Amino acid sequence: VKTQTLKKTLNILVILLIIVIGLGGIYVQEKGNWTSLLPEYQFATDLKGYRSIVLKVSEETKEVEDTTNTTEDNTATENTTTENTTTENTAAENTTTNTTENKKTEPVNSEDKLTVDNYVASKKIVEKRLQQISPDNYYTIKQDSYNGNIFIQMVDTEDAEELASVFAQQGKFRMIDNETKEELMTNADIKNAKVGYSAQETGYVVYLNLEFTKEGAEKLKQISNTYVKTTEPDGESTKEVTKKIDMNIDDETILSTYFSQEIENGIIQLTIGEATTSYEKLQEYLSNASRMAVILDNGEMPLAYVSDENAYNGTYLTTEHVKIIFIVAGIVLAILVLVMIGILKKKALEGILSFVGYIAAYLLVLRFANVYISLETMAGMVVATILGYLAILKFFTMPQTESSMQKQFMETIKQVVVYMLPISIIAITLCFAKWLPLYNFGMAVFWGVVITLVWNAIFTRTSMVNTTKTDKAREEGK
Amino acid sequence: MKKKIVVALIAVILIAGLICAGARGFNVDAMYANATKINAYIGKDFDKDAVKEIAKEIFTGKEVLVQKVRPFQDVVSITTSGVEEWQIEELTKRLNEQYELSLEKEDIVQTQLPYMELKDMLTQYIVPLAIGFLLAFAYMGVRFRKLGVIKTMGISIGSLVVGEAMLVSLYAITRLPVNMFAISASLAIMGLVFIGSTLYLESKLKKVEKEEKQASKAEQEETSTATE
Repeated sequence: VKTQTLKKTLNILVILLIIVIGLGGIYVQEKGNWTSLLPEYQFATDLKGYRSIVLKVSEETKEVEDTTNTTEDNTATENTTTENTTTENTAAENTTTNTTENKKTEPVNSEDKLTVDNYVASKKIVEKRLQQISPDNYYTIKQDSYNGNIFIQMVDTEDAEELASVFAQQGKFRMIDNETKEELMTNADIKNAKVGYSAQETGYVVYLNLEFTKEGAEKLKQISNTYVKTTEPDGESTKEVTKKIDMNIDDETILSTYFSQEIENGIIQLTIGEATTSYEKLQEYLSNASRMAVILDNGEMPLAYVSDENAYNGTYLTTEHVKIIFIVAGIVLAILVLVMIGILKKKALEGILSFVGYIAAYLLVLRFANVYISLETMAGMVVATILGYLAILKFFTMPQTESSMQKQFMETIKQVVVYMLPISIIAITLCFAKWLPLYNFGMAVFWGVVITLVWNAIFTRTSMVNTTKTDKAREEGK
Repeated sequence: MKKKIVVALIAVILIAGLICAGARGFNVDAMYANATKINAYIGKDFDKDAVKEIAKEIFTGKEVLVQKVRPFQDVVSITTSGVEEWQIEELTKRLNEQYELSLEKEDIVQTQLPYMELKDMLTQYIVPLAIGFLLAFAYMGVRFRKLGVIKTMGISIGSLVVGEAMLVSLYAITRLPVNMFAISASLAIMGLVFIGSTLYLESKLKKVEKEEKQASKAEQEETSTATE
């Protein structure tokens, strides 16, 4: 009897220890401050806060060629050039003056472009970019259908400021003739944009691979044969003539180059930055290339947007909300405990201890598994609590005789697994979901299932074996 | 009898929910509805609960959400609906009193927020949940095939639909705000309904298996009696 009582006490002490650690934590004093030895809970955006970005349809203006005066101006240019044939420089100056005179300002988004269709198309592109770039893949996006403004909420990270700039970019890709400014390729020719890097003697080099569509590849082949460096006769000697292309994103030239060989596979590899051995530099180049890839990969927005707000907002939850959550959780747990007392009667104390121990162990695992605590995780925790509760009830109500203990235990485990299977299947599926709220829910339920099985296989079983053996020994003693 | 009472109760809740939703709609939280975001620079750390109390007194009867805007947590962001000029004036006055500020009405920045489309809110949930449901229902169909696949599907899918519909009805009847808790509540209900329907089907299966055993035992006994 003594040995069994000792074993039982030991089991209870271990459970109590888990309860204390799981619900209270372990703290040590370091330089006057109490520091937790356990990993802290990781809170998600709904409990911590999020990055809020507002994209406004641009009301800016740009300078463009005034086509209405083209004929007149061209004549003026010709006249000026003829009059000033004495020096090239004077001609160039005059031409510049005329070019300036030929420009006019107009809105970047013309009136006829401000349609609901264009608003929606722009939002779709922003959302595609969000899906590719949003950290932890969680965001909300909504649009004001009256003015096209887009409102984004996303997980905040250190580089959120830079990420936000990606959404506002129109993503207008143009490959143009460096001299004539003739459009050679547009976004429609791009199939995809991917980032890669390779190790070279001088360090790591980051690339942006642009793959073009079938038609785009055909165009690229012609371009790579046209825009080359050639040698032409210049009187008695020869001179090198280079025909260049400019690669522009949102009217900004990112590359001005010529081709040294024909490109047949429809892929251009652009080097981002320079070869580096610095980890920070490599990360910077990779981030820049990724942002460029995200912009080019998802097409051109029909409208130009500007970033109007980019701020980190704290959670909506107030102390009142937290109070309500704790009160509701307390009431539900109290009901569960009362029902357990009603069902288990004499064994109720052991059952409650096991149940509280299970919750503590579950919370510990959530900490160590780095599960993000969000409202969806809490929903998963509710499901996991019920799973554990039902399992403990099942184990404590199974017939307990020493001879059939092992058989009964295995039978009960089987029953528990059977009723947990459908929700486990859903939980495991959701653990593969990219969408953070579903992933959080899936992880919370998954760990609930695992802990239910492990906890009962170790502690509930030990507790039951000890109780049965003690009872038997007492009876024999009598 | 008990079963009939439960079914009748569920039917009443669902019908009442449908009527309430049709007549008054849902009490959609400012986070998802058309709303106005009001930002004010406090210039120092402040008590979010205290500002919420002030805002609740000014925007009476409206859902009010209060946030701190970082990095310095010195800007308050209040999201609510149907904001009028006098309310902004009152808010400016109250904030000035509470935090000894000298804010002008013009210092309060207002942004109109559009409502969240249901499509935008739910799109990301559909595919993963559909795959999960499909696999779970397939398992249940195999596991409880003795009860009949159609019956099993009816119970499991039906209970899920009724469970979620009950939640929606409760939102409509009680005018609980449809807010950030709504999706979590729906997921929790989904999980609990799955556990409940599996337990119910398991008990039904046991009953059927027990009856089958008894029938085969009786048959065996009959055969042995006939042989004798």
